[in-house]
Amino acid sequence: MDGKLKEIEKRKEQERLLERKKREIELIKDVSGQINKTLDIDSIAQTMLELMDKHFGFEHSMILTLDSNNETLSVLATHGYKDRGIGAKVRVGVGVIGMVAKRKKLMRMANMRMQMNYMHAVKKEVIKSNSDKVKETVPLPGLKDVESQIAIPMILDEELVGVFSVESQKLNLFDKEDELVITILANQTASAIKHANLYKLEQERLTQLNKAHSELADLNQNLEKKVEERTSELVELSKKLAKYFSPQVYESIFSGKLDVTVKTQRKQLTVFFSDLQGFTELTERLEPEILTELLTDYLTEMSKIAIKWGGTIDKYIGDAMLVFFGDPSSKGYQEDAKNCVAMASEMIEKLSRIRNKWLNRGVSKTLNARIGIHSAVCTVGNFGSQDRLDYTVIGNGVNLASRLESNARANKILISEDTYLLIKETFTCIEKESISVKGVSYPVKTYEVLEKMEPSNVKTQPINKVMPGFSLKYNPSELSDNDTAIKLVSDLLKRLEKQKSLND
Amino acid sequence: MNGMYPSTFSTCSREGIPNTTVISQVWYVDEEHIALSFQFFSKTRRNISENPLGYLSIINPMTMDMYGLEIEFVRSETEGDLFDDMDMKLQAIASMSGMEDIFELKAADIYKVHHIKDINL
Repeated sequence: MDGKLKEIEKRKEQERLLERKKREIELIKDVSGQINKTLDIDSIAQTMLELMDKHFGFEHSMILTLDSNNETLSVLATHGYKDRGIGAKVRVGVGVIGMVAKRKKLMRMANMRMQMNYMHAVKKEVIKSNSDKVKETVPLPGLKDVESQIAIPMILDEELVGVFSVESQKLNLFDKEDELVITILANQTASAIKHANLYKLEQERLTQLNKAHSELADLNQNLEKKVEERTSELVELSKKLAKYFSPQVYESIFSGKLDVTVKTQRKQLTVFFSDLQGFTELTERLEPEILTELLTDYLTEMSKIAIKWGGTIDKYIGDAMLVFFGDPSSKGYQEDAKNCVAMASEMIEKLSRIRNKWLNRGVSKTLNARIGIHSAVCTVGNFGSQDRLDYTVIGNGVNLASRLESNARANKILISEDTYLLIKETFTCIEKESISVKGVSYPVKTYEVLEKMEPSNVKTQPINKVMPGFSLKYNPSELSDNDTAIKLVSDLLKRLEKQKSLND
Repeated sequence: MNGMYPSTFSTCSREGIPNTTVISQVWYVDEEHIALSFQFFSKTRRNISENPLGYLSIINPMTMDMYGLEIEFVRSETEGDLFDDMDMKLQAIASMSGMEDIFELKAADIYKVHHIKDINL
């Protein structure tokens, strides 16, 4: 009888144990399933606490996580407290939770109130003799009159993640048998929290990365825009600057062929000088606005022609213009000189049209230009200081061109012999009186350009031959009495033939 | 038994002068042994060093049953699981009162239990 009773007792105990194991497995499954559903730390912690209450009746529990300083723990989630107390701090090594964190060992505390009373009683005694060693009582999160407490370290890869703490005003919370399963669940929670933390960090980093990325993109866009703005500003500026230079000089500077430094060189150039006859008088008679318009019109048209022929416009001095050929680019002395004279001819032609236009507008005083051209070796380049440079030409050649210009007749081109020798194949010229120029010891021979020689206008080309005992001067455009000329030439021809036969 | 209600521990000096003190914790070691915490040099410690036999009365907090234990000092442990466990709990309580620099577990004193007497009868 006794033996049978014992047998029944034993079987009941086994059934109880089996039932318990089953419950534990279900619990672990339940908790694992729930907390692995989410990567949100708060909801992991909250789920864990609620499930603990459901399965073990833990009415008051909390999860604390170790702060990055490794010195404190922060309350992550609470269950069953009036004041949720999230964020409250516990120092590692202080109180039940602090000690569990420090030692990474589970701790069960019972009859804590009595122990605390005992401790306070001792403190009162000790404080009399050892007051410097006694510290203030530390306020800790949790129940007021806690009787028992169990705190479990949440460990992952031997590292403390946090502490799971259960408190009760009852004396004994749970028995040793439950410790194992609670420890497993605590560690499982630790793992879930760690993962969620990593995920959160990753998300934060991703957000930061995205932010940095878009900032960079913004910056790039801004930079591009700024560069574009600056470039267009520069283009605008250089366009404005271009007006102040002859295209050749502008081209040379901006292409880097001509360095903007104080640098000059001696070069064979053809220098052109022009001004308007009686312009000073005109300035006294015209309103400044009209005068400006007139001058701008005149100089604009003349400059267009200069540029067309490849001249370097050196400067405008009021109504006067200084243009030279042969620098920065040269097509050869002769070609430069020819282009210069061709330019001058076109200018005179153009001027007659401008003249008519202004006559129609009531400017009765006619516009007449005088032009002088001389070819010589001159010094050309950037003159001035490091701060202010002027690209110009200097030398006796320039003075001579100026002198020729002042000796020229209205709307005529007066050139020196040096230029004449370079262009005589292309342009018909007549010799004029020599002039004396300051700084030149000999009288300078001058020629007036008549027209360009074209195969079709040979008929109109003048003949000007001089030899000992014979001089022939023929200018079709000036000749009016053709018959007398023919009689003179035929008589001369007969006499020449007669003299030839006598000499033979 | 761990962290139970206050217990009283009676010891006796070499001259036969008895002494009874209240102790806060009695630790279960195994079926034949219990442990007491040694924190301060006291009359109890002196008596035990002279006469290892003592009498401990404890209360089961669940049932409020009282028991009398005839015990004898065996050894002092200053390391190991038992020592660590006792030390940890002592520190937890002490630190809550700002007493962690005062309270220090010097040793876990192991006693053999010779006889248990139910004194509720």
